Amino acid sequence: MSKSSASTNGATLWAKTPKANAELFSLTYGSLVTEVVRDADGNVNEINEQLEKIGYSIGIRSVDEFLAKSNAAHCRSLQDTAQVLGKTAFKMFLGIDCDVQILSPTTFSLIMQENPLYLFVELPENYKETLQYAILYCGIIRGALEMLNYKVECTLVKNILKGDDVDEIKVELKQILQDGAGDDYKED
Amino acid sequence: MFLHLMIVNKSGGLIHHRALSPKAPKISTNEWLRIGSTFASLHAIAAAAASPLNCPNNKNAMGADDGIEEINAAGMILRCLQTRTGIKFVLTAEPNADLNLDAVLREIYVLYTDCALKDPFYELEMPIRCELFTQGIDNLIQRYDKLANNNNNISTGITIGRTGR
Repeated sequence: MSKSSASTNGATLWAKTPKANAELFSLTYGSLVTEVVRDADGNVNEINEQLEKIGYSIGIRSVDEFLAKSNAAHCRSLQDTAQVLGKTAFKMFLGIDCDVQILSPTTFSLIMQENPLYLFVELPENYKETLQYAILYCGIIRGALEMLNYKVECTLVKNILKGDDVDEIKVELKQILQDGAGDDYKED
Repeated sequence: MFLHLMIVNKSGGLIHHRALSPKAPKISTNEWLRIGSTFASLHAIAAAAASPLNCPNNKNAMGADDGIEEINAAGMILRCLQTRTGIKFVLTAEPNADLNLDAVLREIYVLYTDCALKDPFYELEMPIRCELFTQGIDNLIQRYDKLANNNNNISTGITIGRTGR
């Protein structure tokens, strides 16, 4: 799928999606994060891990919604997947445009100029460097692509809250999974 | 007229089935479970048996991943939509009916994402017991039945007109 058709498709889908209030969205996520912080007793690694897990659970479900509503063409390469993910899916669910950078045949980056989660958000000094507030997106991407048999690793490499100019999520393809019975059930 | 709807999960388990008209055969849930998993196996065999070379637009290099799309029989027509996440939506209908089964299946997929997947108590791959979903299906089927009836009336109207001439 070409870059432009992916983004036009995204814009049409965004127009059709029922909208939620941006402030409500951001504040809800904010209170969720504070709750996780409280539960984890300030252990930053655990906070990040939990937020990523929440994202994963969202991802494995929302991928079906995306496929059912988008009619996106089949992707023939990871580059196609990157375009559909950044231009169509992020637009459909969040209303934002991502820039897609292809780094290698198995890695790409999604760059976000703005992030609806960051409305009103300021991190205290002790969390500024370590807490990955938007790691939820990494989990969503990992979950969604896993349902389509792509095992990926996502990392938040740039973070506006930390002082970077943009948000950047790096996605690295680790393995393409196969459907069917596991190795234990294979005939010799 | 539509007859029956089955939803089969990735591993071949029946997670939902529902009669769509009084004409649907009366078969117990246990039987439907068996039919659902048998269909999943046949689907997998069909996909493995087809040579990828015969399907130039194939998406999966390892085999034809469309499996069974349609079964035509004297008493019914069966249409299957397999989603890219592996769920199969299977719809049976009377063979002579002028129904767009594909469009219905796609709408059922949307209903599944909106009602079942967004239900926080619904677990993936598990049976769907969700009132919103069944209501949505009922409304959808009613709408399409009405549409098909209207079309039938129009077409019979035309034939009468022609014989009159």
